Amino acid sequence: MNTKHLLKPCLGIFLFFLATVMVSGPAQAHKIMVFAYQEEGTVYAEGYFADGKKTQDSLVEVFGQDGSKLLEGKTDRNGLFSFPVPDVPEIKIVLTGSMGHRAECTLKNEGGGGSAKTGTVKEDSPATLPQDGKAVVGVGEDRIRAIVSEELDKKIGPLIREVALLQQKKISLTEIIGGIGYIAGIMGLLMYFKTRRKGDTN
Amino acid sequence: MHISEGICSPPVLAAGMVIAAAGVAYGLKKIDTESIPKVGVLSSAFFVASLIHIPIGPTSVHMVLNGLMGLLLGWATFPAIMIALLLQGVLFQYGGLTSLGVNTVNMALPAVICYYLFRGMIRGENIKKIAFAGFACGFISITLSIAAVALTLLLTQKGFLVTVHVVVLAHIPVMIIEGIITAFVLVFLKKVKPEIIEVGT
Repeated sequence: MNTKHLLKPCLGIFLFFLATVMVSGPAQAHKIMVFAYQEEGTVYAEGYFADGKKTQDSLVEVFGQDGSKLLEGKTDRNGLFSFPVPDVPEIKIVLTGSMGHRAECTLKNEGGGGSAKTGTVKEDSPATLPQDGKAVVGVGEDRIRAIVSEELDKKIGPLIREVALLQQKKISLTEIIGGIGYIAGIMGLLMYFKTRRKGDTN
Repeated sequence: MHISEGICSPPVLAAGMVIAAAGVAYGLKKIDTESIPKVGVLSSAFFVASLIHIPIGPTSVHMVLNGLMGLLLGWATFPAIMIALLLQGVLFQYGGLTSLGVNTVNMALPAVICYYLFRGMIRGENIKKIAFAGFACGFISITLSIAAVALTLLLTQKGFLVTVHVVVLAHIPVMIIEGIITAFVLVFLKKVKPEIIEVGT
Protein backbone atom coordinates (compact mmCIF):
# COMPACT_ATOMS: atom_id res chain seq x y z
CA MET A 1 0.00 0.00 0.00
CA ASN A 2 2.60 2.44 1.10
CA THR A 3 4.90 1.35 -1.71
CA LYS A 4 2.22 1.77 -4.32
CA HIS A 5 1.53 5.24 -3.08
CA LEU A 6 5.16 6.18 -3.58
CA LEU A 7 5.60 4.49 -6.92
CA LYS A 8 4.15 7.34 -8.92
CA PRO A 9 6.38 10.15 -7.66
CA CYS A 10 9.35 7.83 -7.99
CA LEU A 11 8.50 7.07 -11.59
CA GLY A 12 7.90 10.76 -12.20
CA ILE A 13 11.31 11.70 -10.92
CA PHE A 14 12.96 8.95 -12.90
CA LEU A 15 11.24 10.13 -16.06
CA PHE A 16 12.20 13.71 -15.33
CA PHE A 17 15.83 12.72 -15.02
CA LEU A 18 15.66 10.62 -18.13
CA ALA A 19 14.04 13.48 -20.03
CA THR A 20 16.69 15.89 -18.82
CA VAL A 21 19.40 13.58 -20.01
CA MET A 22 17.67 12.92 -23.31
CA VAL A 23 17.02 16.55 -24.06
CA SER A 24 20.24 18.06 -22.90
CA GLY A 25 22.54 15.16 -22.26
CA PRO A 26 23.72 14.12 -25.71
CA ALA A 27 24.92 17.60 -26.52
CA GLN A 28 26.55 18.24 -23.20
CA ALA A 29 29.71 17.18 -21.58
CA HIS A 30 31.36 18.83 -18.72
CA LYS A 31 34.44 19.72 -20.61
CA ILE A 32 35.60 22.64 -22.65
CA MET A 33 36.69 22.92 -26.23
CA VAL A 34 38.70 25.50 -28.03
CA PHE A 35 38.42 26.22 -31.67
CA ALA A 36 40.51 28.61 -33.71
CA TYR A 37 40.32 30.05 -37.17
CA GLN A 38 42.23 32.57 -39.14
CA GLU A 39 40.65 35.47 -40.90
CA GLU A 40 42.28 38.48 -42.51
CA GLY A 41 45.48 38.37 -40.55
CA THR A 42 43.84 37.73 -37.22
CA VAL A 43 43.52 34.49 -35.38
CA TYR A 44 40.26 34.04 -33.51
CA ALA A 45 40.14 31.50 -30.73
CA GLU A 46 36.78 30.59 -29.28
CA GLY A 47 36.21 28.61 -26.12
CA TYR A 48 33.08 26.60 -25.50
CA PHE A 49 31.66 24.37 -22.90
CA ALA A 50 30.47 21.31 -24.70
CA ASP A 51 26.87 22.50 -24.54
CA GLY A 52 27.81 25.54 -26.57
CA LYS A 53 27.99 27.99 -23.70
CA LYS A 54 30.98 30.29 -24.15
CA THR A 55 33.82 30.17 -21.70
CA GLN A 56 34.10 33.73 -20.51
CA ASP A 57 37.19 35.22 -19.01
CA SER A 58 39.31 32.10 -19.44
CA LEU A 59 43.03 32.01 -19.96
CA VAL A 60 44.22 31.45 -23.51
CA GLU A 61 47.86 30.71 -24.17
CA VAL A 62 49.46 30.53 -27.57
CA PHE A 63 52.54 28.41 -28.12
CA GLY A 64 54.84 28.09 -31.10
CA GLN A 65 55.94 24.80 -32.63
CA ASP A 66 58.92 24.55 -30.31
CA GLY A 67 56.72 24.91 -27.26
CA SER A 68 57.68 28.47 -26.45
CA LYS A 69 54.86 30.71 -25.34
CA LEU A 70 54.15 33.42 -27.87
CA LEU A 71 51.39 35.30 -26.12
CA GLU A 72 48.49 34.91 -23.75
CA GLY A 73 45.23 36.58 -23.02
CA LYS A 74 41.72 36.09 -21.78
CA THR A 75 38.51 35.35 -23.60
CA ASP A 76 35.92 38.09 -23.62
CA ARG A 77 32.20 37.88 -22.86
CA ASN A 78 31.62 35.97 -26.07
CA GLY A 79 34.33 33.44 -25.32
CA LEU A 80 36.45 35.01 -28.02
CA PHE A 81 40.13 35.86 -27.99
CA SER A 82 41.81 37.32 -31.04
CA PHE A 83 45.39 38.19 -31.87
CA PRO A 84 47.35 38.97 -35.04
CA VAL A 85 48.70 35.95 -36.92
CA PRO A 86 52.15 35.21 -35.48
CA ASP A 87 55.00 34.65 -37.88
CA VAL A 88 55.36 30.91 -37.31
CA PRO A 89 54.16 27.98 -39.41
CA GLU A 90 52.05 26.41 -36.68
CA ILE A 91 50.63 27.52 -33.36
CA LYS A 92 49.11 25.62 -30.50
CA ILE A 93 46.30 27.29 -28.60
CA VAL A 94 45.63 26.12 -25.06
CA LEU A 95 42.50 27.15 -23.21
CA THR A 96 42.39 26.72 -19.46
CA GLY A 97 38.98 27.01 -17.87
CA SER A 98 37.92 27.08 -14.28
CA MET A 99 38.06 23.92 -12.17
CA GLY A 100 40.87 22.34 -14.10
CA HIS A 101 39.27 22.13 -17.49
CA ARG A 102 41.64 22.40 -20.37
CA ALA A 103 41.45 22.16 -24.11
CA GLU A 104 43.88 22.75 -26.90
CA CYS A 105 43.97 22.95 -30.66
CA THR A 106 46.57 23.58 -33.29
CA LEU A 107 46.30 25.95 -36.17
CA LYS A 108 48.45 25.93 -39.28
CA ASN A 109 49.42 29.28 -40.66
CA GLU A 110 47.78 29.19 -44.06
CA GLY A 111 50.14 30.55 -46.70
CA GLY A 112 52.33 32.47 -44.29
CA GLY A 113 49.69 35.03 -43.48
CA GLY A 114 48.86 35.54 -47.15
CA SER A 115 45.28 36.32 -46.43
CA ALA A 116 46.48 39.00 -44.09
CA LYS A 117 47.29 41.16 -47.02
CA THR A 118 43.86 40.89 -48.55
CA GLY A 119 42.81 44.32 -47.56
CA THR A 120 45.96 46.08 -48.72
CA VAL A 121 46.23 44.89 -52.31
CA LYS A 122 47.31 47.73 -54.52
CA GLU A 123 44.53 49.67 -56.09
CA ASP A 124 46.40 50.42 -59.32
CA SER A 125 44.68 47.92 -61.57
CA PRO A 126 41.16 49.17 -62.44
CA ALA A 127 42.22 51.46 -65.24
CA THR A 128 44.80 49.28 -66.94
CA LEU A 129 42.83 47.85 -69.86
CA PRO A 130 40.52 50.52 -71.17
CA GLN A 131 40.65 49.46 -74.88
CA ASP A 132 37.35 47.60 -74.64
CA GLY A 133 35.46 50.66 -73.57
CA LYS A 134 33.10 48.79 -71.22
CA ALA A 135 35.83 48.59 -68.59
CA VAL A 136 34.30 45.58 -66.89
CA VAL A 137 37.29 43.46 -67.81
CA GLY A 138 39.61 46.17 -66.71
CA VAL A 139 40.41 44.71 -63.32
CA GLY A 140 43.83 43.36 -62.54
CA GLU A 141 44.36 39.74 -61.66
CA ASP A 142 45.57 40.68 -58.18
CA ARG A 143 42.49 42.67 -57.50
CA ILE A 144 40.17 39.87 -58.61
CA ARG A 145 42.08 37.41 -56.48
CA ALA A 146 41.79 39.71 -53.52
CA ILE A 147 38.07 40.25 -53.95
CA VAL A 148 37.40 36.56 -54.47
CA SER A 149 39.38 35.56 -51.43
CA GLU A 150 37.68 38.22 -49.37
CA GLU A 151 34.26 37.05 -50.43
CA LEU A 152 35.20 33.44 -49.90
CA ASP A 153 36.38 34.25 -46.38
CA LYS A 154 33.06 35.89 -45.70
CA LYS A 155 31.04 33.01 -47.11
CA ILE A 156 33.14 30.17 -45.77
CA GLY A 157 33.77 31.59 -42.32
CA PRO A 158 30.51 30.40 -40.77
CA LEU A 159 30.82 27.09 -42.61
CA ILE A 160 34.24 26.45 -41.15
CA ARG A 161 32.85 27.07 -37.71
CA GLU A 162 29.96 24.73 -38.38
CA VAL A 163 32.33 22.00 -39.52
CA ALA A 164 34.51 22.47 -36.47
CA LEU A 165 31.48 22.21 -34.23
CA LEU A 166 30.35 19.07 -36.02
CA GLN A 167 33.75 17.54 -35.56
CA GLN A 168 33.50 17.95 -31.82
CA LYS A 169 32.53 14.67 -30.27
CA LYS A 170 29.04 14.71 -28.90
CA ILE A 171 27.75 12.29 -26.36
CA SER A 172 25.19 9.92 -27.74
CA LEU A 173 22.56 7.96 -25.89
CA THR A 174 24.22 4.79 -27.13
CA GLU A 175 27.36 5.67 -25.23
CA ILE A 176 25.45 6.46 -22.06
CA ILE A 177 23.62 3.17 -22.18
CA GLY A 178 26.85 1.42 -23.13
CA GLY A 179 28.54 2.91 -20.11
CA ILE A 180 25.79 1.73 -17.79
CA GLY A 181 26.09 -1.68 -19.39
CA TYR A 182 29.80 -1.73 -18.67
CA ILE A 183 29.13 -0.89 -15.04
CA ALA A 184 26.63 -3.72 -14.81
CA GLY A 185 29.17 -6.05 -16.38
CA ILE A 186 31.96 -5.00 -14.03
CA MET A 187 29.66 -5.52 -11.06
CA GLY A 188 28.81 -8.96 -12.39
CA LEU A 189 32.51 -9.80 -12.61
CA LEU A 190 33.05 -8.49 -9.11
CA MET A 191 30.23 -10.65 -7.83
CA TYR A 192 31.64 -13.65 -9.65
CA PHE A 193 35.04 -13.30 -8.03
CA LYS A 194 33.59 -12.52 -4.62
CA THR A 195 31.34 -15.57 -4.60
CA ARG A 196 34.06 -17.83 -5.98
CA ARG A 197 36.47 -16.78 -3.28
CA LYS A 198 33.83 -17.41 -0.67
CA GLY A 199 33.29 -20.85 -2.16
CA ASP A 200 37.02 -21.60 -1.98
CA THR A 201 37.31 -20.83 1.68
CA ASN A 202 34.29 -22.93 2.56
CA MET B 1 34.67 18.75 -11.29
CA HIS B 2 36.69 16.64 -13.67
CA ILE B 3 40.26 17.80 -13.85
CA SER B 4 41.55 17.38 -17.36
CA GLU B 5 44.73 15.83 -18.49
CA GLY B 6 47.81 18.02 -18.47
CA ILE B 7 46.64 20.29 -15.66
CA CYS B 8 48.19 18.79 -12.57
CA SER B 9 51.86 18.34 -11.92
CA PRO B 10 53.24 14.77 -11.80
CA PRO B 11 53.61 14.67 -7.99
CA VAL B 12 49.97 15.65 -7.54
CA LEU B 13 48.87 13.04 -10.07
CA ALA B 14 51.00 10.38 -8.41
CA ALA B 15 49.68 11.22 -4.95
CA GLY B 16 46.13 11.05 -6.30
CA MET B 17 46.75 7.64 -7.84
CA VAL B 18 48.24 6.23 -4.64
CA ILE B 19 45.41 7.48 -2.42
CA ALA B 20 42.80 6.37 -4.93
CA ALA B 21 44.37 2.90 -5.21
CA ALA B 22 44.38 2.53 -1.44
CA GLY B 23 40.78 3.69 -1.20
CA VAL B 24 39.65 1.37 -3.99
CA ALA B 25 41.47 -1.61 -2.47
CA TYR B 26 39.92 -0.97 0.95
CA GLY B 27 36.52 -0.36 -0.64
CA LEU B 28 36.67 -3.62 -2.59
CA LYS B 29 37.54 -5.48 0.58
CA LYS B 30 34.55 -3.92 2.33
CA ILE B 31 32.03 -4.85 -0.33
CA ASP B 32 30.09 -7.98 0.46
CA THR B 33 28.27 -9.96 -2.19
CA GLU B 34 24.84 -8.66 -1.22
CA SER B 35 25.79 -5.03 -1.64
CA ILE B 36 27.34 -5.37 -5.10
CA PRO B 37 24.11 -4.53 -6.96
CA LYS B 38 23.79 -1.41 -4.84
CA VAL B 39 27.32 -0.38 -5.77
CA GLY B 40 26.49 -0.95 -9.42
CA VAL B 41 23.29 1.08 -9.31
CA LEU B 42 24.93 4.02 -7.56
CA SER B 43 27.94 3.87 -9.84
CA SER B 44 25.55 4.11 -12.80
CA ALA B 45 23.71 6.97 -11.14
CA PHE B 46 26.98 8.85 -10.73
CA PHE B 47 27.93 8.05 -14.30
CA VAL B 48 24.70 9.55 -15.63
CA ALA B 49 24.39 12.40 -13.11
CA SER B 50 27.45 14.09 -14.54
CA LEU B 51 25.56 14.53 -17.80
CA ILE B 52 22.84 16.63 -16.19
CA HIS B 53 24.44 19.90 -16.39
CA ILE B 54 23.42 23.37 -15.36
CA PRO B 55 24.88 26.55 -16.87
CA ILE B 56 25.46 29.15 -14.17
CA GLY B 57 27.18 32.48 -14.74
CA PRO B 58 30.52 32.17 -16.44
CA THR B 59 30.87 28.45 -15.86
CA SER B 60 28.68 25.39 -15.96
CA VAL B 61 28.25 22.71 -13.39
CA HIS B 62 26.76 19.28 -13.06
CA MET B 63 25.39 16.92 -10.44
CA VAL B 64 27.78 14.65 -8.61
CA LEU B 65 25.66 12.79 -6.05
CA ASN B 66 28.71 11.79 -4.08
CA GLY B 67 27.00 12.55 -0.77
CA LEU B 68 24.31 10.01 -1.52
CA MET B 69 26.89 7.47 -2.63
CA GLY B 70 28.92 7.97 0.52
CA LEU B 71 25.93 7.48 2.80
CA LEU B 72 24.74 4.35 1.04
CA LEU B 73 28.06 2.77 0.16
CA GLY B 74 30.63 3.87 2.71
CA TRP B 75 34.09 2.92 1.54
CA ALA B 76 32.67 1.18 -1.53
CA THR B 77 32.22 4.70 -2.91
CA PHE B 78 35.85 4.60 -4.02
CA PRO B 79 35.53 1.70 -6.49
CA ALA B 80 32.07 2.88 -7.58
CA ILE B 81 33.32 6.37 -8.44
CA MET B 82 36.53 5.12 -10.00
CA ILE B 83 34.66 2.81 -12.40
CA ALA B 84 32.22 5.55 -13.40
CA LEU B 85 35.03 8.08 -13.88
CA LEU B 86 37.03 5.63 -15.96
CA LEU B 87 34.06 5.08 -18.25
CA GLN B 88 33.34 8.79 -18.45
CA GLY B 89 36.96 9.36 -19.39
CA VAL B 90 37.01 6.66 -22.03
CA LEU B 91 33.59 7.33 -23.53
CA PHE B 92 33.14 11.09 -23.14
CA GLN B 93 36.66 12.41 -22.58
CA TYR B 94 35.64 13.84 -19.22
CA GLY B 95 38.71 14.32 -17.11
CA GLY B 96 41.45 12.02 -18.27
CA LEU B 97 43.22 8.77 -17.60
CA THR B 98 46.24 10.31 -15.90
CA SER B 99 44.03 12.44 -13.68
CA LEU B 100 41.75 9.52 -12.83
CA GLY B 101 43.36 9.06 -9.43
CA VAL B 102 43.11 12.72 -8.48
CA ASN B 103 39.50 12.94 -9.62
CA THR B 104 38.54 9.77 -7.78
CA VAL B 105 40.03 11.06 -4.53
CA ASN B 106 38.45 14.50 -4.95
CA MET B 107 34.98 13.03 -5.23
CA ALA B 108 35.16 9.83 -3.17
CA LEU B 109 37.06 11.04 -0.13
CA PRO B 110 34.48 13.73 0.80
CA ALA B 111 31.81 11.06 0.36
CA VAL B 112 33.56 8.77 2.82
CA ILE B 113 34.05 11.63 5.26
CA CYS B 114 30.32 12.40 5.06
CA TYR B 115 29.56 8.74 5.57
CA TYR B 116 31.29 8.86 8.94
CA LEU B 117 29.69 12.21 9.81
CA PHE B 118 26.11 11.29 9.04
CA ARG B 119 25.71 7.53 9.16
CA GLY B 120 24.54 7.68 12.76
CA MET B 121 21.78 10.16 11.91
CA ILE B 122 20.07 8.06 9.27
CA ARG B 123 19.74 4.93 11.37
CA GLY B 124 16.76 6.11 13.39
CA GLU B 125 13.08 6.23 12.51
CA ASN B 126 12.78 10.01 12.55
CA ILE B 127 12.07 11.00 8.95
CA LYS B 128 12.79 14.67 9.54
CA LYS B 129 16.17 13.82 10.96
CA ILE B 130 16.94 11.62 7.98
CA ALA B 131 15.90 14.34 5.57
CA PHE B 132 18.11 16.82 7.36
CA ALA B 133 21.04 14.41 7.37
CA GLY B 134 20.53 13.79 3.66
CA PHE B 135 20.50 17.47 2.86
CA ALA B 136 23.55 18.19 4.96
CA CYS B 137 25.37 15.21 3.53
CA GLY B 138 24.69 16.14 -0.09
CA PHE B 139 25.54 19.76 0.58
CA ILE B 140 28.72 19.15 2.54
CA SER B 141 30.18 16.40 0.41
CA ILE B 142 30.00 18.45 -2.78
CA THR B 143 31.36 21.47 -0.93
CA LEU B 144 34.30 19.39 0.24
CA SER B 145 34.77 18.08 -3.30
CA ILE B 146 34.93 21.61 -4.66
CA ALA B 147 37.40 22.53 -1.95
CA ALA B 148 39.46 19.47 -2.85
CA VAL B 149 39.49 20.36 -6.52
CA ALA B 150 40.46 23.92 -5.68
CA LEU B 151 43.24 22.68 -3.43
CA THR B 152 44.51 20.33 -6.13
CA LEU B 153 44.62 23.18 -8.59
CA LEU B 154 46.36 25.45 -6.10
CA LEU B 155 49.01 22.81 -5.47
CA THR B 156 49.77 22.82 -9.15
CA GLN B 157 49.50 26.42 -10.13
CA LYS B 158 48.99 29.54 -8.07
CA GLY B 159 47.19 31.34 -10.88
CA PHE B 160 44.03 29.36 -10.32
CA LEU B 161 43.34 31.22 -7.09
CA VAL B 162 41.54 33.90 -9.07
CA THR B 163 39.01 31.50 -10.49
CA VAL B 164 38.42 29.59 -7.27
CA HIS B 165 35.95 32.00 -5.72
CA VAL B 166 33.97 32.24 -8.96
CA VAL B 167 33.76 28.49 -9.07
CA VAL B 168 32.69 28.16 -5.46
CA LEU B 169 29.97 30.78 -5.96
CA ALA B 170 28.83 29.04 -9.11
CA HIS B 171 28.43 25.78 -7.25
CA ILE B 172 26.17 27.11 -4.52
CA PRO B 173 23.01 26.19 -6.48
CA VAL B 174 24.45 22.74 -7.09
CA MET B 175 25.17 22.29 -3.40
CA ILE B 176 21.54 23.08 -2.64
CA ILE B 177 20.21 20.83 -5.40
CA GLU B 178 22.48 17.99 -4.31
CA GLY B 179 21.28 18.43 -0.75
CA ILE B 180 17.62 18.35 -1.74
CA ILE B 181 18.01 15.32 -3.99
CA THR B 182 20.04 13.41 -1.42
CA ALA B 183 17.45 14.17 1.26
CA PHE B 184 14.61 13.17 -1.02
CA VAL B 185 16.20 9.89 -2.09
CA LEU B 186 17.04 8.97 1.49
CA VAL B 187 13.53 9.63 2.75
CA PHE B 188 12.12 7.69 -0.15
CA LEU B 189 14.43 4.73 0.48
CA LYS B 190 13.63 4.83 4.18
CA LYS B 191 9.94 4.46 3.40
CA VAL B 192 10.22 1.92 0.61
CA LYS B 193 13.32 -0.11 1.27
CA PRO B 194 14.86 0.79 4.62
CA GLU B 195 17.39 -2.06 4.51
CA ILE B 196 19.31 -0.26 1.75
CA ILE B 197 20.18 2.53 4.12
CA GLU B 198 21.73 0.19 6.64
CA VAL B 199 25.30 0.05 5.46
CA GLY B 200 26.84 -3.28 6.25
CA THR B 201 29.76 -2.27 8.36
